[in-house]
Amino acid sequence: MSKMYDLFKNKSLENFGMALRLSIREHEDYASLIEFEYVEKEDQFIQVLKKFLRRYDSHARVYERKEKRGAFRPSEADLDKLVQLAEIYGVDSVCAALVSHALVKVG
Amino acid sequence: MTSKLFIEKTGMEMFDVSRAYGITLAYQYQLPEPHGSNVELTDLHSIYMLSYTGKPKNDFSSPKWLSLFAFKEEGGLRQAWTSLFKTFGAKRELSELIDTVKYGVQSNFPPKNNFLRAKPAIKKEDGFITIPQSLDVSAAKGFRTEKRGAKYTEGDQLFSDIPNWALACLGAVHFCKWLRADRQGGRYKYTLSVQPNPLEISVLNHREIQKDMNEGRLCELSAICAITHYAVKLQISLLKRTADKSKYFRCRYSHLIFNIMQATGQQSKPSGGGEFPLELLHNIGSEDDGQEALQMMNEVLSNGWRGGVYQDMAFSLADFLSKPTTPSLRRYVHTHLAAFLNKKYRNLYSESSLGAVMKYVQNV
Repeated sequence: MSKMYDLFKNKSLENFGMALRLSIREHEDYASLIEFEYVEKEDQFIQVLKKFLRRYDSHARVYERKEKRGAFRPSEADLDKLVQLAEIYGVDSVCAALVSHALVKVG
Repeated sequence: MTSKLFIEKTGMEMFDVSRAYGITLAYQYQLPEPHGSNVELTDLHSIYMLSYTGKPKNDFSSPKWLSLFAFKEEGGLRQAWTSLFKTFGAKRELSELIDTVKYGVQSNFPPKNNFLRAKPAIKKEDGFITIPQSLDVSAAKGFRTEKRGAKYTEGDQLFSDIPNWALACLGAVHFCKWLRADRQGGRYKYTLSVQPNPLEISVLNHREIQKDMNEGRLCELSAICAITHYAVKLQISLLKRTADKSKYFRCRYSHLIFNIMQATGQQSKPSGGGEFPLELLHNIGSEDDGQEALQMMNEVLSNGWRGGVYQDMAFSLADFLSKPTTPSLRRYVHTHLAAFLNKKYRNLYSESSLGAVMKYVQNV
């Protein structure tokens, strides 16, 4: 089985993929998309993740104020797992799987 | 009782598969019904094997037989004949060449001892004819001679005996998909011929597949786009035809064989040729939501002619399908997503259909 499939179906990566999808489609966060597209090294990947989560958090808080309900957020365990996956499979493959999740239909 | 005929391969893939299809077609048309519908072709690595029942009629005057050599506009055969004999130019009339094909096939039918052997030669002898590059590019430049001392030459033009040449022409015209594409100022940029290599096929089922393949257009942006689009359409057609379990359908292909000629200032030159594997698309098609992924790919490639982001999507998808690695996947996902975000293309994959594709991305 391809490792890309293992990554694609990983629950933590799916959660981050969903967050990226929401971020891009609802809030036009193209900056995060471009950064994930071009990141190569692990330390750069951590920086990109940090920036993405900051942007995502600000959009999520606006959503929560407006809609008066909790927004979806990847968990701490998901974040740990994602970084672990990047160490095992490489930043390239993890980012490819992440951005692929942004390509899927909702529902 | 089943009879068998063996077709020895020469090593020139397009020439060999066209010969195999040519002799299969000849038997299909010469055997009385229902035997004509029961002809089967199998690839046994170094030879092809034709299996049939009944005895051929050797009736070469029937309208049905003569329709094989028609070159009117009906059925698109004229385009196939003119593409095949393009490099003969004005030297010989099309009708004369087609007559040579007809008499060439008839002169050695049925093949003696149920064995068809071709021995291409580098010198033109009596009863031999040039194998045009449109039939097999490796025949035009030949097989390169080894480097010895200070001399290094291209291979010589290859010639074939007329009966085998005729069978190859017949098979190529009827079973190849011919594409003369990207017209600029009245001249075509490239000419492509592509056909699937028969792992094991029934000729009747193969012709049903060919009918599906002749519907619609291929993505003409480049030869590789056209080849990958052909492969996607072929897999969709196979899935559609084998979905009905109540009907017996026997058609398995191992890979595509293709031939590309590029237009230059004076004449067309051989540009490339070889095999395109079908394993990736077959594997995707066999997954639960694989068919949905294939339909999406077909749509992306079909829209390539629109230019702009559609063209980018088609190019990157063709690149991914010919080399399914993580970098090529990233490029395709990037272009597809860009088209979606720019509101130019609204269709997306479902998670399960994209997962079906992901399963077969190569670990690089």
